[in-house]
Amino acid sequence: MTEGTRWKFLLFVVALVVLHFVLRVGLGLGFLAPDLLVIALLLASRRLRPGSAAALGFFLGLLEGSVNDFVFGRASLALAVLGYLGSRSREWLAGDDPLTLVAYFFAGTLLYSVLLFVLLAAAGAGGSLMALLIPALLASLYAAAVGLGASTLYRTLA
Amino acid sequence: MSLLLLAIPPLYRDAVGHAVRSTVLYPVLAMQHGASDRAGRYADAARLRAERDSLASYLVGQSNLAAENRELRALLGFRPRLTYSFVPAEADRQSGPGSDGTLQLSVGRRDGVKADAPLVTAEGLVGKVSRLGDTDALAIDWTRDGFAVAVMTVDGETYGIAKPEQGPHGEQVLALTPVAFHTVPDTGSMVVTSGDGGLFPRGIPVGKVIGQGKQAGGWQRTYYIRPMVNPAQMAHVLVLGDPQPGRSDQDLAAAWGVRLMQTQVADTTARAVAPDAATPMAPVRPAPAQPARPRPRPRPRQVDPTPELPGQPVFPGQPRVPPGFQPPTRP
Repeated sequence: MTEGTRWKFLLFVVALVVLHFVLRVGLGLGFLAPDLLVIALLLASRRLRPGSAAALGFFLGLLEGSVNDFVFGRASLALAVLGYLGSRSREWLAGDDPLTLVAYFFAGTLLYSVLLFVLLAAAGAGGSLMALLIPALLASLYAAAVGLGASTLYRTLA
Repeated sequence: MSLLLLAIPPLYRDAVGHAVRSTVLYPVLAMQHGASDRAGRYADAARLRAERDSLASYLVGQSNLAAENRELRALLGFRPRLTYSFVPAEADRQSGPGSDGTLQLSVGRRDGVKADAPLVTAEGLVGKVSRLGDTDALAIDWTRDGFAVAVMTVDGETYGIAKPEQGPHGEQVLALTPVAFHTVPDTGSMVVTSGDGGLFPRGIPVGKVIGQGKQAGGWQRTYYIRPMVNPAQMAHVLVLGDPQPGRSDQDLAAAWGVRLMQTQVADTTARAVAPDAATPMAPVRPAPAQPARPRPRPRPRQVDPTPELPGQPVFPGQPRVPPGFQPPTRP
């Protein structure tokens, strides 16, 4: 994902974030819409330094927590950790081929779900482990497919 | 900074969330309101018409009884019962991690909604308001972990707390606990809110007993309750407001057609015994014998021919009937 100028990439990430809230909140699609927030963060953190990626994760988490009170603060923490790890992943996950990207999006979305589950469970609101696993796996597969499509689209346009 | 967000008191957390919602996320939330309004507008018209017809027929049948009851209460010197205002709202189920059993309401503080206000439908209790905003609110329904309501059976024999639990077949039900060992509620008996704790008014249908649950241990039992309101039926709800003195002769249980067998509603107490229903009743002492005085004959009152609703919608800032309003006439 090194194609295009910095502004084009920034616009692309902002578009993903806006689309996430429009689909999930504005149109009320909920889980029918993919988690474009995580996809945007994972894409951006491949280009950012760890600190900046964590700060971006914090900001995106703040937005997510503002529409869903129950993850307020927790989403910020989980996305900040995810941004940091996403940025550091360049050291051991090189390449932009489709298989690598799919694995990256899948692992990233799954990690976010697990982090959020642990943080919610610490507050006594996590629910059962099975209730996490199956939806989280499906959501991660969905996000991986959509993330691959989004990055392909960006490459084509940029 | 994330840890700081987790550690700050809820008041500041709400303020931060409100600031983000009213600035960056304002267009998205406005779009959500619009989508919710449109969904409500295109709700099943046939079902709404059937409900309206049933309600009209019910009210016509009740209007004579209501007028008669009002006269009798006036004769006996009873204070009028308290009626509850309500605010109709559209409820969208929240999605996302940790938001199971939460509903986004299309009304808020500006519409007259109060914090922790109960949510009901035509079937019974839904849940309560959890976070209150100016124009919207977040509510939890009975399926959410941590929800609890003080309940009783309509015969007044069994009291307890109902909490969400997995039923015998894995379905979501409410568990009534702790029930004293010697108390055995019948299967199928109606459970209503008892009014204990003051959060939920007395008489709102909660569900029906479907059988005995897991043993609570000791001299107590647990019973499963199948709630009256299915999570799929929560798209349109009524948010109960404050009790207000009105002319209605119906209490909340009567609004659902439920008859409580041991009616102990505080505001029905005779004025001679407890002048203020909100204060506990003083012990009754035998009054010295007095010559019986003829009771003044009550003045004839004009009976309002309009059938009464158990509640009245509240739209602050708006007149009840718009000026120049003409009722529609059928051709």
